[in-house]
Amino acid sequence: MGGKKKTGQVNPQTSEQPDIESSARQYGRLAGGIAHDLNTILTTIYGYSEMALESLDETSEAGQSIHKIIRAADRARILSGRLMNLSLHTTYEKVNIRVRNIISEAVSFIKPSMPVKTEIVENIVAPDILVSADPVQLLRVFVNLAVNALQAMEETGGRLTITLEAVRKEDINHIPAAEYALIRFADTGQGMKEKTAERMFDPFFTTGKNGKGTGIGLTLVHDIISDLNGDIKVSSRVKKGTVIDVLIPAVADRMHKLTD
Amino acid sequence: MAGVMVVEDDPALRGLLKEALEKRKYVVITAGDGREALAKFRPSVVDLVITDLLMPEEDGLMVIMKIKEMKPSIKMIAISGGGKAGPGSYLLMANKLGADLVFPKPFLPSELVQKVKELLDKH
Repeated sequence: MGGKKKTGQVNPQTSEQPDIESSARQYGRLAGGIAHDLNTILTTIYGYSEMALESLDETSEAGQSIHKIIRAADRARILSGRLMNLSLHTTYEKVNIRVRNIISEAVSFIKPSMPVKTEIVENIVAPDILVSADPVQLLRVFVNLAVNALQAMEETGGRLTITLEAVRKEDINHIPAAEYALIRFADTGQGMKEKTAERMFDPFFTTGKNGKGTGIGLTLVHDIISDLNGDIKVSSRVKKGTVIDVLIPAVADRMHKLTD
Repeated sequence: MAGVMVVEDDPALRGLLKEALEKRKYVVITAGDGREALAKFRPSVVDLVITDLLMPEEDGLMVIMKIKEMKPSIKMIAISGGGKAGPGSYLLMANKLGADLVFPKPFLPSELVQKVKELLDKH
């Protein structure tokens, strides 16, 4: 990483230059630590499930229940593998990427752990739009925003719609660009009060109960988007839901080398 | 009966491996970290060591090196849930240091117990 300079703009909330690489490393360590502990716990779950099956008729009700436990553990193992992959990504390189692909990847990352009665709908209006970003960083942004939206619907159930479209906007944060990718995360969850919405990108601010959420995810989201000369807008209504708009300058030349 | 030492800092997994091995009639000695493992290790009693790699105090790589010194014929299985250098890299290192087998977590404990049997049968 040495020698690689960041070109991010000033973070309006802290008046400091966002240190994306350092945040990404911290995030990576956190993801790796969680995956490591999860793998250990899963081995115990598999082990006791196997032992229980040794003394049970596999076709009995209890035997079937144990099989369901093993299948759930299999899903957690997939999730843990993905977390580990995220943790290994320590370099930071902007390439031209199709936003649609990163949205699909984020959705498949989240699907195994979605709360019951929630669904995700992808509404891709601009399938070919490209942005210049680090793919894993962008994946982190989308995963964070989607997980937050799903958590807001955990008790009531609901739908998260992720829309991708191209918008023209003359001036975002004083940097003109002809075209932006607009990625909209609209949920039908419990919404937020104005004060909560104002603070949602502050470091260590979390509304997560029982230890859910560290309060660093959305700060990282904000910093990554700032670094891309993009913008995030939040609008929320209590008991109606939240809409988060992420705007990222589109790559003008669509013939530019593409990394999927 | 052959003796197996289980070195694992997670108490639940340590307990599970102890139970699974005792069911197969092995004499099992457990340790919660590398330092405890080195203190409890007796070359005349232990024929095979199963060690986690990322642990407080002395880590698993140190356990492999020091126990190999004490008993070169010892059989070693390294287990790991991954770490800062990646899930495979610690296990690769363990392999180079003399572990006979490596198991990335999560694994099926029945498969581990089967490998214990195979390694000790070769002994």
